Amino acid sequence: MFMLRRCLLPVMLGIAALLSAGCWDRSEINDLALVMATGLDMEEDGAYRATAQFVIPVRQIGATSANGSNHNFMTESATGRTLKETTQNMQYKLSRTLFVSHRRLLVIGENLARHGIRDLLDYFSRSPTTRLRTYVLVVKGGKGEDLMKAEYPLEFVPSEAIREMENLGGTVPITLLDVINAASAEGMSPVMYSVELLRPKQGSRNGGNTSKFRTAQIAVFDNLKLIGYLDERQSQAYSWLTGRLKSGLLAVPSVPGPGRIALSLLHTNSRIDSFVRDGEISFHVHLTGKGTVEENTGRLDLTNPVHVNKIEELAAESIKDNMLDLVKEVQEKYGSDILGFGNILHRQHNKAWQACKDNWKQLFKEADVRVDVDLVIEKIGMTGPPLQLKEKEIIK
Amino acid sequence: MGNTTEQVSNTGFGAMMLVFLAGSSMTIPLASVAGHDAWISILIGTVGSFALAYVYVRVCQLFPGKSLLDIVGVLFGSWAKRVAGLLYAWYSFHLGILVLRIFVDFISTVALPKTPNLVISIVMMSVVLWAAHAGIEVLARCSLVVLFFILAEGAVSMILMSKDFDFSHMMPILDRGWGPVMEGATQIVSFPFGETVLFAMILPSIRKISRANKLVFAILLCGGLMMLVVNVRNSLVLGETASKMIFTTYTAYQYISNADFLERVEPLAIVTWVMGGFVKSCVCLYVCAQALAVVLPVKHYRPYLLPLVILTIEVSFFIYKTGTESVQFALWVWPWYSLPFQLLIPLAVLLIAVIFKKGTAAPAAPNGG
Repeated sequence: MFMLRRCLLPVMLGIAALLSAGCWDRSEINDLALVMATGLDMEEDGAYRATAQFVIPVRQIGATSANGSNHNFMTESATGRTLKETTQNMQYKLSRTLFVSHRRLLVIGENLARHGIRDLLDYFSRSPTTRLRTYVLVVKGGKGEDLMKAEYPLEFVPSEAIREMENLGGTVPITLLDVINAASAEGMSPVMYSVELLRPKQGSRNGGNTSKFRTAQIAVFDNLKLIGYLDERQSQAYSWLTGRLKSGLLAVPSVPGPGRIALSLLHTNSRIDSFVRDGEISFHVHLTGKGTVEENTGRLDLTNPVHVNKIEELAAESIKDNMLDLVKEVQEKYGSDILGFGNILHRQHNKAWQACKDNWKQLFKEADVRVDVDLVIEKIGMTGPPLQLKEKEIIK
Repeated sequence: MGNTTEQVSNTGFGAMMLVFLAGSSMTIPLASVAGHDAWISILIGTVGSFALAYVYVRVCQLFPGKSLLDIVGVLFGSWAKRVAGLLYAWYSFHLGILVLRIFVDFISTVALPKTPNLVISIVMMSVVLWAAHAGIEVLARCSLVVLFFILAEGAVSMILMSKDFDFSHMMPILDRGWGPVMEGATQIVSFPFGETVLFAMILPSIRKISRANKLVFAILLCGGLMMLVVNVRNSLVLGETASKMIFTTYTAYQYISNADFLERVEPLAIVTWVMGGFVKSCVCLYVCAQALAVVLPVKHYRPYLLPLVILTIEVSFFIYKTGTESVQFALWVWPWYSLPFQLLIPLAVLLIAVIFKKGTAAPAAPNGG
């Protein structure tokens, strides 16, 4: 009996070792093509074209390319009528199994975005390997394929650059989950941040021979079709309104006198209250934030609270204008509730919402929106007046 | 029951029941009809389950040392006992099949798509067989370890997900009205709470039967709270999507991303599921074998284990054609189908026992009858 028990343990461990290797699904790392990003486009004939960007693992560590000809990444494209077919066609061209669990970025070409993203979303949410955390972006005025093929020497994989830019860019990135939630919610339309591919100018030297990316503007969707972009100011206002703004920038004229004062915005928050009175729906947007003076090209001595209060006022006014401009643009030009006002109404006045949700698209355009801003300038930096000014130039 | 020499500590019993409750129900969306209001359903369901549990616990306390089936035998005679044994054997067998099937579906969807389901089933069930063969005492001690892991993992995941919490997802409260919430609550009462009726076959083995009622209610409460926390957590992270996903917790784990390096922790969710599924399958198998031991001439449960395991694997393959069927069955058929086992039979036994003042719950005779 004792012998039997002693034999049993190694046998059991052996069996466990055999089984935990993953059976039929074992996959060695050197059999995988690690997809870092995928660009999606629409062909002339309506087929999808997907371009995936893979890392080349051996070139990741230390071996930065000396002559510039060795890429750290590889791209492959394929077309198909459905996304699965596209993926399958791509697989046929690859020596390794496609592995998308680490994909962090999904970019959608402008063409496809304008055609509509309704049919894309299911594939990504149904697949157990795609993470809903994947960032989604629209390529403004370009194709996803071009973006995937563009080089970016600062990072090993170019798509990583875009992802990092999204993280750094002062806003909370929009993920696949956000898009899906906004698309399925009744009083809300999704938005995505956009990325632009800046082509190198011919003949320019010194870093001018690679492409650059620029992120910032927000792509507006209606009925899951791209219908336009917000400009930078509106995008910042949008991010603030929806609580996605981590840090922002604002320049206000210095009063009195020439020059401008640049503020960075931190700890921004927003609260939206909805009101229903006699069938009239109105929204009250309450924005709060803290500002830091980063630059002062005027002549003000900012140790004087009167000046700071004045700047606060001007800044608040400017933020309010931007916000109202955003609301007006969205209500009148796009008519798509990307601000999520319907959702707010749903949460705060469910009964009123149930009554008007079928007609929401029209009511949204007519809704009255008021804005008030509560901005506090907490810090003015290391100095009161600009140091280079002579005593008599400073406005105390 | 054939073998009453085994003794389970109250703690071990509690752990076993808690894992049984939480194991598989933590991974799939409960009361998904109620959307983000499922937490209300869970609260109501937990309270409702007290009534259900009261019945079988009371019955077991009236006859200390006897399982539900033995009590049926005392009250209605040996043939009734055999019929009841057959019924409960079937019920726990069926439950075991469902647990295995949904486990295999999950594993083959998210982790091992190419591995034949048969292999997954055999690997799982052989461990289950081993544990069930070792007896309820061993299983109770296993559960303690599993419970510790589930709690630790749950706490860690809460911390990791907390930065993605969006409390506006929970508004408005009662979005779809009371109807769906109550519907969700009834589903929760039968799955997973009502299934604890199987523990009426194990209750006689615990050391302090007099404290069983408090223990069971505490466990139901803890189980309810665990489900509540998990459900709310998933809703806070995923929003409305939470109630539409099939393996919500797994999806929520996939969403974790912290500081650029803490990514892809979803295997934790798989491990939780495996452990919970293991304990639940074990309990089902054990109870089924014990019930058969009452019905059939062989009075020990162990000889029945291997055939039952083989049958469970076999039947789990053809009980449904697709995962869709299993979801529909779990939602619309299971609550009604379970009603006699979870409520009617124990209730009838309790009523008869109380009306005819039977029972041996005198303090002097803990093993009477």
